[in-house]
Amino acid sequence: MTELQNIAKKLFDDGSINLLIGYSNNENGGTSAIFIDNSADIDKLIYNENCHQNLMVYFQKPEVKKFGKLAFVVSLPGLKSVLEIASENQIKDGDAYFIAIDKDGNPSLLQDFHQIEDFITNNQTKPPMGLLKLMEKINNMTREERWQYWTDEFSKCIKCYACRSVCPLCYCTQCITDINIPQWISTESSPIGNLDWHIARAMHLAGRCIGCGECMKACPVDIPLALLTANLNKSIAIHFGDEPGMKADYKYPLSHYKLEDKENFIR
Amino acid sequence: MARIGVFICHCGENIASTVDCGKVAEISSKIPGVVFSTDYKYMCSDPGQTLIKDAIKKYKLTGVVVGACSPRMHEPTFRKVVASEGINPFFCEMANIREHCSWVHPKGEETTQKAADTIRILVEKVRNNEPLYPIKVPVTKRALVIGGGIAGIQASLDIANAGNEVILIEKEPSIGGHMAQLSETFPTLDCSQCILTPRMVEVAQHPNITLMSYSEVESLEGFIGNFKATIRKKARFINEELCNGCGDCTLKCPIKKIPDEFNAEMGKRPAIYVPFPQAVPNKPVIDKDNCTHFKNGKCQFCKTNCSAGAIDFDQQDQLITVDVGAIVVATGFTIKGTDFFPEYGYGKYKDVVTGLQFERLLSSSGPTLGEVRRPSDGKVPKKVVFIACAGSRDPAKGIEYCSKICCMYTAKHAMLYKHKVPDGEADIFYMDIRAGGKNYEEFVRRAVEEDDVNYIRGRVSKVYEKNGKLIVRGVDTLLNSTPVEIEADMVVLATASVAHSDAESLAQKLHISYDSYNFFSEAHPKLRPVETNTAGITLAGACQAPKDIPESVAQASAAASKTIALFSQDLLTREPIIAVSNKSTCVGCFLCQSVCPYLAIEREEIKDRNGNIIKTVASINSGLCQGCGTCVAFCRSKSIDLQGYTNNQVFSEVSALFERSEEYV
Repeated sequence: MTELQNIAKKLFDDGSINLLIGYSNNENGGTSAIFIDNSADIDKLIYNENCHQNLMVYFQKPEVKKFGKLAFVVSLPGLKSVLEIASENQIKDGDAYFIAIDKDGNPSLLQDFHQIEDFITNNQTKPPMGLLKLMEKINNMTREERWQYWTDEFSKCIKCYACRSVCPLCYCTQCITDINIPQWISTESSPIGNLDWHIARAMHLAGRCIGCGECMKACPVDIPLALLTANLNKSIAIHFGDEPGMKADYKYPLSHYKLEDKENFIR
Repeated sequence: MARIGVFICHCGENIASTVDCGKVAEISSKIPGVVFSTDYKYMCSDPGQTLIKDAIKKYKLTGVVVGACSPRMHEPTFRKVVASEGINPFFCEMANIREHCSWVHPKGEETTQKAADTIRILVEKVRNNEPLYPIKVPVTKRALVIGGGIAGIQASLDIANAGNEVILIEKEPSIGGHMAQLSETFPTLDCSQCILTPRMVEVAQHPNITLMSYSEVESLEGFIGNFKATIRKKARFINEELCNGCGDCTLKCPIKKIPDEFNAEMGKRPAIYVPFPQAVPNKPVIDKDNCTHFKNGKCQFCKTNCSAGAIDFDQQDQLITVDVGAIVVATGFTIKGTDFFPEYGYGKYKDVVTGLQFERLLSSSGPTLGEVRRPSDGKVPKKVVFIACAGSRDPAKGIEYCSKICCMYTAKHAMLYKHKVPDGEADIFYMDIRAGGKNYEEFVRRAVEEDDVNYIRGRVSKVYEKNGKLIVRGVDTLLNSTPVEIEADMVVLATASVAHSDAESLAQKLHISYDSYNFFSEAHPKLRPVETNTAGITLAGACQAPKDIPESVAQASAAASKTIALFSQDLLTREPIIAVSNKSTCVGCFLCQSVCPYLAIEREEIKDRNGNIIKTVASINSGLCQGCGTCVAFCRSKSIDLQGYTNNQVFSEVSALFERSEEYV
């Protein structure tokens, strides 16, 4: 039994949890999420470098919530999303257990937000080089080139909303794109409809995105979606000095007024 | 099916001179759902209103669009007209084809087209309107007056005399403000204290007024009729109930050399003190920063000598929360010190004083008992130079406005000085004499003609000390800019009146607006000069802009009358233009709560029939919501909508703008 399985077993054995969401090998040779509701299935629980999905996306699903006591296997991005949704009143301290996987792949059990904050501070990683390079390349483009770049990228979008489905922060029960009275965002996969959707998505995640990159990995047509939110976060960090997913009592900079906020952009 | 009437107003020539109103009416008649459309010279006039009423009856209209002026002007008028015919008033919309169209564009087809488009947009809005009903909120008939200067005193007395409760708070140990510091007042030269102190006593004895001195506003919540103010009652280290005001403690205090604020630092006071003999309340206060007991615990002279046992070194600040329905802000002003002026010695010359300091030297209750003696050596100055506009009207100093009171008080100073030192010489450097006011010009003439005050039109570039004299170098611009040099014994600067250093933070606590000089802003410079933009909060006195006593008193009574009018109603009627939340789609992220400037968003727990909490959602307090719509813009799931400006209404308006077909041209 691995250390991860031991921790999971103990949680089931002492009745702490009714459901554990982790990773297991799937029939395609990859990994998928596994929902374990009794300790007999614990031997299927694994963790390796292929286990990237942000499992916190399941936290707000009613099908999961009905189990009551929950545990999640999470690495750094997952834990950041825990703190972010905590700051948005979606999870309370003690609502779930977290089996955190550190950068060396070792599991440990975290029970409260304070432990999560410490874990995040001690396990910071840099964003992948490829992403940074692409961001730099796009930021160095002229305005027109940049517009053309994104127009080309969005033209590939088939409006499958996979980006929305995998995002732990897209937890609205009614997404703005599903509202039809009035229909602010056109539903069809057309240049204008795609632009509407991606601007709305990026703006709704500005200053909230914790950078797990799942949207980009899930996109079947390879639109580098994480760049949009990463760049918005960068602007917010420059102007307001705040970063999401670091503290459970994060004050969303776009909605919180601070006396020391810069006003130099008001002319 | 909507049956909409469109009424285009010419506004005399205001609209008709650039917009073809007949054509707008004709184009509007083609919009589906519009069953009647006409134009008229003055729609707001009695015949105009009758025209609308008759059309409502004849064509069985369900909605009305009036193309006329700004809704701020006549929306209430036309909504009343519509309501009188039994239609919900919120089915009447105004298309602003005056301010937004005829006034800002030249005569021409495009201007007429814009007017027609504006009408079409509003027709689409009316089609999506829903009936709304006014909101009634209760009124707490108790006023909070902030600041106990003459403005605050007057406002308190007026409100209290009308039978309402008043809580008057003053941050200093005594009420009275600047007026208590003045010697005589222009233009009558009556003694300031003699006319002020009876009012101060009246405040203290009034059964409807609760006086809280040495207190400040900590925070404010709520809205018109229903404010909740938290007041910090600062520890004065005196049990006010026990203290009988004998003053023994102030005499026994071994510390005696603290610059006296009441005397504009021209005199000294002990660490336990009453600001001035006529103080209300006549209770001392311990200046903690200068008291030996608080520094090292070694002194208890005041305590051992207090026969009433009223000294309480352990007293703490108290936070007191009060419910009030209206607030009068009367926090006054302050003046720039001599240290603001490098050209006049940066405050290093003892005999260069401010107007307020000179006022204390003239006052019979002042440190020299009314004799004009200069601070450096106590000699009677034989030559005094007064410099008006010290800092005021000076863009280089960042104070572009006129401080308004200086012309008059400088004339008064010179006059009083001449009365006290008949063989002395008074010179006044001035830019202009601004003596607009009843008997003001006559007063200035009297200074020149009867009291021999020497007015020199010009600025002073430099004041410096030489052989015990102050050399004042200026220029006389009426004598072809001849340089003037005067050897003076004393120089009095009429320094600029400015807002208090904490004015900005108070404005932020009260959610009222303020100008670039931190003076509080009125709602309208002409027609609403005492109200702020926050309903229920009015302004009185020099916290709004520099003002003299008669003006401050007049404005205080005006603020009081606004407050009394508010208190004359048991229920306030509010427009139902407020946000509403959709509790089924709200996910409870409470982003709305963090952006709401009115603290109007509350958390509501949705429970199942067994009492288990299913979720917590946003719920909007209809009394607090001001309908700004910020929450609507922030709500990601569009679970909040603004009544009267719903997403659906706005969307249909925008769509209408883009759907201009040939028919509507």
